[in-house]
This record gives sequence, C-alpha cells and structure tokens, in this order.
Amino acid sequence: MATDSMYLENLEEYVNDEGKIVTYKWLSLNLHVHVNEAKQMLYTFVEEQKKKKIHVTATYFVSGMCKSVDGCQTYTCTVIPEEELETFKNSLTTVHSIHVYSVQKAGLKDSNSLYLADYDCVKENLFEIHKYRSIKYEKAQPSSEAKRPPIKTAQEETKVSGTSSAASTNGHSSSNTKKDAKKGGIAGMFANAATKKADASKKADASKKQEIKAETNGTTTAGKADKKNQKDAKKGVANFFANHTGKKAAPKTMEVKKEENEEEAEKKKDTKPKQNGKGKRSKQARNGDSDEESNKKKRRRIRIEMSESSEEEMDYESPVPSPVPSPTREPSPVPDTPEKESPKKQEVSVKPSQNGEKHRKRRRKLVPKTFMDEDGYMVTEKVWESESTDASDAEPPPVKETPKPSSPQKKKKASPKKKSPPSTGSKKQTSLSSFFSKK
Amino acid sequence: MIKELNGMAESEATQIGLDIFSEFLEVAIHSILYNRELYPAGVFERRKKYNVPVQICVHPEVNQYITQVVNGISEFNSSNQLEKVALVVCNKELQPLEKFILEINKPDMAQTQTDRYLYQLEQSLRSFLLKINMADSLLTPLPADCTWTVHATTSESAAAKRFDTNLENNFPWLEASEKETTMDNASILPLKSTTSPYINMQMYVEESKECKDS
Repeated sequence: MATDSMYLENLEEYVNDEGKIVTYKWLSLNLHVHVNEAKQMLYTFVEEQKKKKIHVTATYFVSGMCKSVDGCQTYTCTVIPEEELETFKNSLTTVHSIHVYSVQKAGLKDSNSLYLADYDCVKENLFEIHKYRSIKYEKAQPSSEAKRPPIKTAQEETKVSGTSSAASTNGHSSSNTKKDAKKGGIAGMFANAATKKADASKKADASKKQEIKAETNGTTTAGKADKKNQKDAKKGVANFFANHTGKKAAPKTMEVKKEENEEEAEKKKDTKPKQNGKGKRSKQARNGDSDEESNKKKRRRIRIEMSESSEEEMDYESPVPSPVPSPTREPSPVPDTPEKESPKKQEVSVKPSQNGEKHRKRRRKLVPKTFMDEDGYMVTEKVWESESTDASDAEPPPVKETPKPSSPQKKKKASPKKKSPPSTGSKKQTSLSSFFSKK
Repeated sequence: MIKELNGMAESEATQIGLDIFSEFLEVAIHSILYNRELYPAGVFERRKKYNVPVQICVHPEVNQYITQVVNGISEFNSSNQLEKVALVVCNKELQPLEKFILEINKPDMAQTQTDRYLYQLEQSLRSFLLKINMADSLLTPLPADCTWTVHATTSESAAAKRFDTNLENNFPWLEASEKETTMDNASILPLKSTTSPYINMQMYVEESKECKDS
C-alpha cells in the first residue's frame, strides 16, 4: 500500500540517517497511527533491512508466564535485546505476546537510551496517550482543582482510597491472569506515563515498589523500575508516608484486581498487558489525583498556603543535581517562581513613535511562552512578541498573552505547587499596568 | 529564595547559565566514560538527571578528579573566557584518538522570559545526553587501554589568573603540549547544539581515523 511504503521510507530515514532510536510508541505518536500498526511497521522494517543486509538492531517486548520459582508462577513483561530473545523465550513456560519494541542503528548499551528516546514525545502527549491504543476508559477524566478534597481528610482518605486507586492501577497492569503480576517491566512503562503526575505515581509506585523489590527479575526493565524507585526516593518525605499506605494496599489489591481483570478480559481480550496497564494507568492517575492525597501533595498544598515558596518549583522544574557530584557546588541556580502566579505578558500594541527620545526598533517574533493558566496547568504557547533591539532595553517588553487559535497548545500538568488565582482578574490587571508601564 | 524573573539582572542569568553548564558538563563526562567504555560498566551506577537515567561512576578517585576538573572549568567560564572544553581520549602512546568537544559561546540574554521555568533548557540538555548515548553507534570502537583527559581552550589571561589558586588546590592546569592536541586526519561528527538564553553551546566529536587503525 502506498501509505505503508511512505511510512517505511520515513522509518528508514529516522533510523539510518538520523541515527534515532525509534520505539513503537514514538512512531505511533509521530505518524498518528495505531500502536499495532506501528509495531507492524517496525517488524516489516526489520525484516527488510535484514534482507538488504543493512545492520539494524531491535529490542523486543516479550510477555508470558515464567517458570515457577518456589511454587509461585509469575507473569512477566520484559524488553530485551534481540540477542537474548531466544534464551528468554525459552525461559518462559508460555509466551503470550512478542512484538518489536524499538529499532536503532547500533546496539544499545543499556535501557537508559530507550527511556530517553521517547521521553519528550510521551510527556507532550500525556493526556492523549491512549488515542492510538486499544485500552480506553471513557469515564476517566482529568480532575480540576476544585474537586480535590481538603487536606485534613487526606490522611484517612489515602488509606481508604489508597486501596482502590492503587489496586486499580495495579490491577490494570496485569492482564489475563489473576496472579500477582510482576511489575518489573511495567513499572518502567508507568514511569513514563505518570512521571508528571507526581502524586498518583508516588502512590502507586510505592505499592509497586513492594512488589518490585520482592521480585528478582533479571530483566533490562528492572533497571527502569529501579530508576523509578530511586526517583521516588529522591522525592523526599512523601515517599516515606506513601510506603506505609502502599503496604496496606498491596494485600487488598489481589481481590480488587480479580474483579477488574475479569472486566478487562471480557472487554478487551487482548494480550497487551503493558499497554493495558499504561493506558489505564494514565487515566487512573488522573482519577487518582482527586482520590488520593499523597503527602507530597499535602506538602505542596501547605506550602502553597503558607507562602509562595519557590523551592518546590526548583525541585520539579529545574535540573535536579545528581547526588554524586560535587558537594561544593550548590544546586540551583534555577530561577523560580515569579511572584506573580500567572505571568501574563502584554503585547505591545505600541507604535515606535511612542518614545520620542530613543529610537527603538521593534520586531515581532513568534516565541514560545510558558506560563500558568487558571487551572494551575503549565501552558506553552507560541506568541507574537515584539522584541525591541535597543541596547538600553534590559527587560523585554511585556507581551500580552493572546491565545491565538492557530497556535498549538500543549498542556503540561505541573505539580500543583502554585496557587492558581483566577487568572481573568490578573489578566485585566496586568493589561492595565503594562499600559502604564510603557509610559 | 524567590527570584523575580521579570527584572532579573543579567549577572544572575549568567550565573545560572554557568551553574547549569557545570552540572551538565559533569554528567556529560560521566556519560562519555560509560559509553566509550573507558571504565568497566560495573563501576557505573544509574542516577537521575533532568528526569532521565544517567550512568554515573562511583569510583571515588575518578569522581574527585572529575569534580576538580569541572570546578576549574567553571572558574574559566566565569570570566567568559572559556571557548572550548574537550574530553580527549588518548591511546597508550598518548596520541589523541577522539575528542568530545563542547564549544561555548556567550548566550543571548534577551530571551530569558521565554524559558522561565527552564523547561526547554532541560529538554535540550536531555537531548544532548541522548545524542552522547547514540554517538558510539557512529564512532569506531576504541582500542583497549585508553586514557582520557580534559582540555580547556581559554584565553591566556584567564589561565594565568587561575594558575596560582589552582596550584594551591593541588590541581594545576597545565598547558597542553602539541602532541596532545593535534590529531591527524581528523573527521568531525556533529552531535547537538543549543541556543538557550542561559547556555549557548554545541557539541561534536573529532575522531582520528588513522590512529584507530594502528
């Protein structure tokens, strides 16, 4: 088919010319195709390249039942390089699904690059990640700020809802089996989807951690899970609390899981546990927001109420220094929370004739602006900004936020550390002040 | 500490850029050591930087060396005199085989508003790291028993200024000899470049085909 060959050509370009690592997720999001098609394309591509004797390496996603260890059979989902494919397949009693996970020009040293490869793409499409996948849950909607329960009841609520939410997230991660699904591989996938949702991910990952630690699956994605664990460990105090509730949640997950699984199995009948989990997870994570009150959120809220502290901001927005490097260097230079919650920029509707004294040259540039909107979401928009090239102009002229319908809107949910005051009011205010400041 | 980004002085922005650059340099050095297999993979541990996993060496002496190198470089950079930083991989005879070069230019400060939360900067640094990971697919593998060092290209005044303090810290920066800096038949492999308001740099690899064959 014509479209297929075009896609395959594109694929060839990405892999051979640009030396990219192409994962099926990335391919599906970029070419706007269903993930199954993406997997198929990767497979055909690998076959073709083999025929042409061009060297490409691939990693495969394999899931199936492991041989029983200590009488306990485990369901594993793993991403493995092709060299280990056969040996790994043999180690499983039954293989439920195999598909190509990624294609790249040269062998990968470890799974770091796999995670890096589609990190940005996945983050940008966090809310639409299910668009091209088989697993959908229509009732899951992102919750708005208003619906979140108050902090006081958070502690009790975590214990209660911790079960259901953690259970459901865990539940979705396993597929047709009723056994405890090992999350080695999946946790890594979840790490992708839910990293931005710090609360939810904390919760579920904490409970997963228990299971992950129990498991000694020597898979490459175990590395991912570990990394996710480390990430969580670094997120501080909340982790400690989340762990406790996680433990209680774990035993209860089994029963709830079984019900969920039955539902799942009936509806979907597919053997893509990873996607299953992932799609659901991201939806659930959003639900989780309203249900769970992890202490991380609590902490954030307290901070928000007490002060407009910028430290939290630094944790998330700035590059976090890794523990190893120099104790001498202080982290973060990163600048932080502006005092205004929603930095609204005014467009200079000004004519150059406004300042008689200096001759300012004004250029209009299309520039991406990042700011907070009314729901506490961080929004990046492309906005026309007039740039003045006068040397004495230290600060850029304030730009009005004109949400142009044509400009692409990417919504990124920042961990709601900041208050989000009614932006309409501040919009007006800033417009007024900018009007005056220009004079 | 709340910084008013609106009215941020240029010096603050520069300082931020310098600090971020130093952090990035350290992580990049570790990544290169891992990817080019200059040390066995066992001494590396997975850590997180810019929200992605990176491999960091845990050997204390190596870390100490890297820390001192990065400190020295950030001193050169603070006077805006730093042109290039190169991680040079040499063979047994101290002939350079590969150089990972980071060219630094003065960033354009005017646009600090566009990247208030440094999200885009983080994104571009992430892609630098990804490119380093990918680079080894496009480079010829290194022979065994290689050594590595770091060269900084800066102005003479900056070097002289720091010489005394460096000597006190027991970590002198010496002028590199001709033999260490010249590479015959070098080919360049560009990796990535970024022009954020805080950091303006490009990264490429020079490799010497001749030496590798021998």
